[in-house]
Amino acid sequence: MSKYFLLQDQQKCIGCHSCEIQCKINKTLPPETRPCQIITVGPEFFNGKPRASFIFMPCFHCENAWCVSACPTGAMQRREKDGIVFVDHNLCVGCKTCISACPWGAPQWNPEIGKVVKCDYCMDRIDQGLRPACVTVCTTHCLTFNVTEKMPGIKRARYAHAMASTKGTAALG
Amino acid sequence: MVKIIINGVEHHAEAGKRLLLVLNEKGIRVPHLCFHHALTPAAACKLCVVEVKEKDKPIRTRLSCAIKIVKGMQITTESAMVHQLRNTAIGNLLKLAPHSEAIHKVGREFGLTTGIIPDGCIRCRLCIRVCSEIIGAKALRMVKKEGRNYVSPSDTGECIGCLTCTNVCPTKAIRYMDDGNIRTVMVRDEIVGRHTLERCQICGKLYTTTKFLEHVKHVDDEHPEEKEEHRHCPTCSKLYYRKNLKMTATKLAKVYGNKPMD
Repeated sequence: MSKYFLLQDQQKCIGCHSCEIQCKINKTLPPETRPCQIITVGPEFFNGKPRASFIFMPCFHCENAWCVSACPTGAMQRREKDGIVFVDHNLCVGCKTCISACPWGAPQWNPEIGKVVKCDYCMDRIDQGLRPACVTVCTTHCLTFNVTEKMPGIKRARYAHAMASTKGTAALG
Repeated sequence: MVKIIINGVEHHAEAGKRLLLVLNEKGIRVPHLCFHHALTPAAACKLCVVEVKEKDKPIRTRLSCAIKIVKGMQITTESAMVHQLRNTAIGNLLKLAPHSEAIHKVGREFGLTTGIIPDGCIRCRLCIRVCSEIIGAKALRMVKKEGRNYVSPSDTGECIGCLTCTNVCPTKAIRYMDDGNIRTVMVRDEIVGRHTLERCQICGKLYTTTKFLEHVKHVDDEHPEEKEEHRHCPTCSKLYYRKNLKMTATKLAKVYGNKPMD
């Protein structure tokens, strides 16, 4: 994993897809190319009410990335200083091996340039001290990006809250 | 009937008749592409140019389709000047229709400069290099035919239908066609490979060739971890992950902070 973490607070997400759109604008991509994607799960009935959740799916930036080891040209790389997995477009020949190798469909095909694009946490922006494009436009501020050790402990706080409200029952299992 | 001289030989011809028609009747060949017996001449292709000397006038180059027979006319159908003008004319025509077999045929017949019929390939060898150096399939090579190099299917290698060659080709000279579950990779009209396409196990879309999946699997063997084997198109790979995310009531409770339903 990279030294960063992109946290999505699923409680806040309303599935507006602003993150996807800003990602495409930032990287100048056609509609079918999605380095990050909001995947709708549900809706399912819960306590008599339909509930859907929206899962933000960027790239996991694996430690031992399938795409990196599959790439025959060395275009797909893991950046040494922070572990970001990215594509060097100068080296990419568009063989799509990485697309087939990734179990999660993270590398995407850009038909306009005949090369692969993927989420690189907008590393050009990070290097300028900016946040990834998707995070900047999140309407509900459910996306947070930082180095892993500085991530807010919302899950823990929420868990504690839930524990207190249910008087310590193992309801959250 | 009037007397005229064609290439130094005396002939009789009807005055006022189109010169090109007369030349055709006498079996004297002059190149032309835009002439039609039933229509008025347009003097468009400019291939039928000849040298004409009329009484009291200097030698001029004229288009034989457009001028009419005049008594005492002296016509030369082949000369250095005529050849040069026809070369210019055929060059202009080829700019408009570089692939035309008719233009090339006329050029060959009359010894004009036409060059080769363009086949869209600039001989950059990117396809051959990417196939042997990166993919390792070695499915393409250069073959010399009639003094020219042509990208051709190789005897030693085997195409896997990955389409990297069509992707890197700067002029899109290598083509592919997906018909049903068969993918054909072609260069000119030669077939580089024919492959069966695999269906995505989730959406049923034909998304890649069997041989390419084998190729990726072979690459995966070197990876230290293992992954579940499945045949999902890139779009469904994400959705497959969503299936794993399929929320149970307990998980929904985590998300919404409510007490779960039993």
